[in-house]
Amino acid sequence: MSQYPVNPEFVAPGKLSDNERLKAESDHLRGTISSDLQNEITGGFNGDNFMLIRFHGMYQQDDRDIRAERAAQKLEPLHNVMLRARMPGGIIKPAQWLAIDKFAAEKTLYGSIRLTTRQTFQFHGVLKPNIKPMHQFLNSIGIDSIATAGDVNRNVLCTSNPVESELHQQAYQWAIKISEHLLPKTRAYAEIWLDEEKVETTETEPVLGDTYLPRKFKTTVVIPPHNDVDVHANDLNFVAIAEHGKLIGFNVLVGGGLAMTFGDTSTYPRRAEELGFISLEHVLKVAEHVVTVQRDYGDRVNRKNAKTKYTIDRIGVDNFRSEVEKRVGVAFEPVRPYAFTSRGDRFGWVEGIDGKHHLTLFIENGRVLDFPGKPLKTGLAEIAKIHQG
Amino acid sequence: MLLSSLVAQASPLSEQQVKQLQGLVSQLNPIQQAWVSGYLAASAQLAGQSVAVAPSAVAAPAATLTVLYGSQTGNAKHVAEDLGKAASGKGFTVKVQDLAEYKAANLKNERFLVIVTSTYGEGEPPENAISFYNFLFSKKAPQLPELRYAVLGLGDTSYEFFCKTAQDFDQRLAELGGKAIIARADLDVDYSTAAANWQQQLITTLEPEFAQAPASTADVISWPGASQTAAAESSYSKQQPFSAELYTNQKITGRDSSKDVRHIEISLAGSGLRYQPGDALGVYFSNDPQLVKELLLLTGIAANTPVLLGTERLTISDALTEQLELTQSYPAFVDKYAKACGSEALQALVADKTALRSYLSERQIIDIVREHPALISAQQLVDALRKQQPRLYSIASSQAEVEDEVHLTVGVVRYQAYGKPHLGGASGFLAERLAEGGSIKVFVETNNNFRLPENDDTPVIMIGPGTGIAPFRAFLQERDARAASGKNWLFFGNPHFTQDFLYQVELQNYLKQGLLTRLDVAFSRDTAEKVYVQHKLLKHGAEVWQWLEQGAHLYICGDGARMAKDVHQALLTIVQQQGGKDEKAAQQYLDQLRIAKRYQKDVY
Repeated sequence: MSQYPVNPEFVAPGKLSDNERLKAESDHLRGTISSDLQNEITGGFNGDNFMLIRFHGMYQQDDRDIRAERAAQKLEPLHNVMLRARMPGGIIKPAQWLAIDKFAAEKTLYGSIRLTTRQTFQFHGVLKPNIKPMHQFLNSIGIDSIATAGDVNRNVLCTSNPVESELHQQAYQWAIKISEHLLPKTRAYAEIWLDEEKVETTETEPVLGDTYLPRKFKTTVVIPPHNDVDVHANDLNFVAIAEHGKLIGFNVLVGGGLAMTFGDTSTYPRRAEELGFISLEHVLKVAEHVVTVQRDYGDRVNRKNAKTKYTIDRIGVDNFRSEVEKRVGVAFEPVRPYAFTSRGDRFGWVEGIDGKHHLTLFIENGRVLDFPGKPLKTGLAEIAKIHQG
Repeated sequence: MLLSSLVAQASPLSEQQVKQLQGLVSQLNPIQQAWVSGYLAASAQLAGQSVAVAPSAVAAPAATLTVLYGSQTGNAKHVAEDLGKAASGKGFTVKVQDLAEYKAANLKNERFLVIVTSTYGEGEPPENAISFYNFLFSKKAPQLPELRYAVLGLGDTSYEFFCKTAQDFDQRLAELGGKAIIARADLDVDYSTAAANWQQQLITTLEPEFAQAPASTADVISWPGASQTAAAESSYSKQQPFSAELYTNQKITGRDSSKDVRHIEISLAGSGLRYQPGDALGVYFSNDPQLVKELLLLTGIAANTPVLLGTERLTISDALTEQLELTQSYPAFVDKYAKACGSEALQALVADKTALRSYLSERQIIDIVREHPALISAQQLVDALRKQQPRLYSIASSQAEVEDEVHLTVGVVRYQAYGKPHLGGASGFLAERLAEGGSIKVFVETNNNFRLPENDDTPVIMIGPGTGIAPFRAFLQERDARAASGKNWLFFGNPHFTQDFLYQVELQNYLKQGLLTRLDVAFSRDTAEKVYVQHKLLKHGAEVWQWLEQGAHLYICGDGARMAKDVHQALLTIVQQQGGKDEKAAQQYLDQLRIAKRYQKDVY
């Protein structure tokens, strides 16, 4: 239960969805994943574990093109997982790139690295025996995949604004801090994948709660005027406000989301709206309590109406804001002026304030692989080899 | 039960009645005979008469010919049974028995003993002969001064230890004081004519002895019992195979597998053929027409040239396609072909047995002819080749589940050698040349030495990597259909989990439903260190031992050259470690299991 008084009028009535049961019964996201890893009879995960591995950054998939063929062969589908790394702000160092380049080539079915719109990379086609080694390998190069999927705060985006390179550095640090502040506190990931000792303590999830969030939750840090991360598609957005090139705080926008279910009028795209300005010392608390308010009032009955945008429309933005303020103990200041002039990516070379040149490269479908006449993956690896990062 | 051997003295019928009966019976096919038999038995029972014949009152000891067989594929068994029939036909009292069933203690009482045996692997006795073989070569073996014996060996001259077991038996029986009735014969794969001759010679030699003995043939007649067994038997056999329809030919290894394994479903509808889990299906096949064409081209023979095959006249093309062995090579072919074409190189090779074996190990007939093409006559070619032997596949289904179908798990023999693709004879026919709906000649080869426990509560441990899983699919179907309560533990292995997990979905379902108590798998190429079924056995040694102590039956099917030996070694280790026994005691423990029919193998 919430550590804050919950207004029952703001709670969606009805029978909780099955996802709520499985989160509650999961022993803080452990489930029986470890015993499934030992099971040599299937390449997949059983029962709740199929969903629980998402909280650890993986989706179970199979090669649909050969599903029927394998059924005729009396073989189960070619189960494998897709792993989505957690990389706040999407920055990867050359040594890390070379390591994941090699892993993709040797240990995945498709040999590719996928770059995603959430500023991270994915491995596709990892077979069960390779999953644990993969996490240990990532850990060895300082990368994890905690909470990149599931009903949690996902990878935190940050404007890739190399022109404003100094401001970008400051904003990027906040993206990392927010990401880490909102991570699940359970040691399940370390125990299951990294073989770390089980510590005998009573585990709690003070921010996300023992049943985690009602639905996925997406956060961005954005540096105007470039809205490349698209605040309107995200639950929680921190719009950087600078004075004399120095970051002083953020305007906070909540409740964006473009997804809708066709034919279901209770779902709709919605723009994010402003809660107000906060100075830097309150950033983490505000992030935390936008999350806890959504945690306590988000719809846990109907997953199609569970995102923050629906919570705000259901309880009203003023109620939402005052709940956050109550919990943080600070009132939002009026929004500082800002303007977005561009969306999308600026391809090609640009020179930053620091005098360094930056290249934005278009990668079709984000698929990094060597293609006939176009050795993309090899090329990027070669760049990583000469780059000092 | 042989009606042809019925003589008036041995039956309650008059000579006239016997003749009438024989006249009728000779016109009946086996199914009709069975019906008549059952009909008579039933009417006799209705009439309140006992039809059982009292044993002959003659007290004089009957000369009995005991025919024992050591058989891996059923050939020795058939030869032994033929011999038994022929000898009974001459009025001999004959007992034909599986060596596994034979009580070695009776050996000292035998006067006339025939052993027909094959040889397995590197000169070892076939599975069902091991216990008797060990007894005979042990200190417990009695002196046999009264014994007259004959040994017939069946083998394959391609192998180094050709007919080794027969030679061993022969030598040992002589050492123990036995006298040979006729000389041992060691026969090659196409043994049938030579076996018939040997049988004839044996019977002729023995006839005076048995003629003197009183014809005590009470055991020959047993009307009521006969009807039951006969009715269950089909008229189809190895000699008269059933032309069955191929229902399904489904590859069951993944697209990236290095192996091509097929799940084959064949209809036995209308054949009356019955089989039990553990039996094998004999399969005849047609050779690849392309192969025949090439062979004829290389030897300069026209496809329609008539040839004589035994007494049958047919075209060389038909003989090669349907009747002769073209894929498995063997020394006799090289010898005859070398002579026919006058090749000195080949003749020199024939003289060097070791070189010849290694030469043949990787060549099919076509490879030899490709290397030494020569214009020979059609008849020379036919005479150089031997008759095709049917291939045996362990049956992968239970009739309790699939009724009049029979399923096989066939590993397709396919490899590249000498710049050309090669395909196995039967597996190539089943996998590639026979269309679904096409017909294939089959027969059932019973194997009483690979049987589920009679008691459904008995646990079973099944070790079947690769296509060795076939009979265990049959076992599981059977145990499922019988709702057998005994625990079932399967060990399976193959190179890759994603590609080679044969019957994966079926096995997963058996696990879910609880029929399979345990399933342990070893995928040797998925890990840096190769893991095989024997490693999994050792890993779970404590539980394996527990199961054995609970009375579990143990089965191994698959590769005999390495796997079965490695598994046996692992079992020895388990019995030593878990049972606290030394090596000898562990060996005895497994021997006892074997004698108790709790340790059975179907290996190839």
